[in-house]
Amino acid sequence: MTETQALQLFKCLADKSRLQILKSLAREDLYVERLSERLGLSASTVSFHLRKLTEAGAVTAHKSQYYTIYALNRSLFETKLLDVLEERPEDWELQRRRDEAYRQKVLDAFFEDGRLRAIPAQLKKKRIVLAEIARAFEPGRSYPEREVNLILAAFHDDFCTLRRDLVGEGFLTRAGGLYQKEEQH
Amino acid sequence: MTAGQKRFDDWLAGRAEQAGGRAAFLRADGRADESHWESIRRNVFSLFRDVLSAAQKANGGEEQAARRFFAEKLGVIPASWETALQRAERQEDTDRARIERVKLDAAGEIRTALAALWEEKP
Repeated sequence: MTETQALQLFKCLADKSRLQILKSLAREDLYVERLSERLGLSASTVSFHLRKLTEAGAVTAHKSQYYTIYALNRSLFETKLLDVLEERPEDWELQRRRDEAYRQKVLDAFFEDGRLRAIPAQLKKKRIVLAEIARAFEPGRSYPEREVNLILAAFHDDFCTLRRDLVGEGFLTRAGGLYQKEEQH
Repeated sequence: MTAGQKRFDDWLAGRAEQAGGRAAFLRADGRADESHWESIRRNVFSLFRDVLSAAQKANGGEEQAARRFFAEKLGVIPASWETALQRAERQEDTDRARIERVKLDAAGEIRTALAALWEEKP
């Protein structure tokens, strides 16, 4: 479901009459006049709502003799809300460019000639800086603490804090005195 | 204001108030579209109440002239709604079409009431 489709559906659902129509259609397929009688709404009002629901993909219609029968689009309602949220946003590329511009701004502010001026206090800035430092480590390779300290000392004199933060924020793992870069970083 | 004009004015005021009350009820009941249509109906009744007032002012005590003035506006104003409805239907604009129909229905009610109430003898 695209973002536009999700918006249209959610707007459509935020109305009691339409929700009642959908509840009726969840029980059985119906035509306008039956819905009108059941819900106490005029036929023209029911038709209006059914048209909106059809446009949003919530309802399908088919002809049967003289009647147009409406049915719930069950497959749409089987979609998990989390799946909708996890869809890539339509302006994903723009969001990605904004994120990248922000990241670069933070790196420019905290690094000078490859050295860290100061360890950021703000967590979101610190994570950007740590992610940049973590690039100095090869994924899958084990590093003894001494080697880790040497690598980190090239960035900042307080390499102990950097080492702890890299582990604390999940960029490095520590086991048996050896450090490894986490694969996703 | 003649007795017929008064009856008609009271009817318009009552219909506007009724539609306003229903709009508030529907809004509170989570039926935004239907509430919006009732608000539009209220606006139409209020608009023609203003037209009635203008008709009386423009024509002094001349009842038939005031009625002609009102009837003419009752033809001219909804004509633009009819045009808007046709355009909305061509463009398959469901929301706009419904709104224009609501306005035209309210104008139709006013037309019926005009004939029934203005000239009705007490």
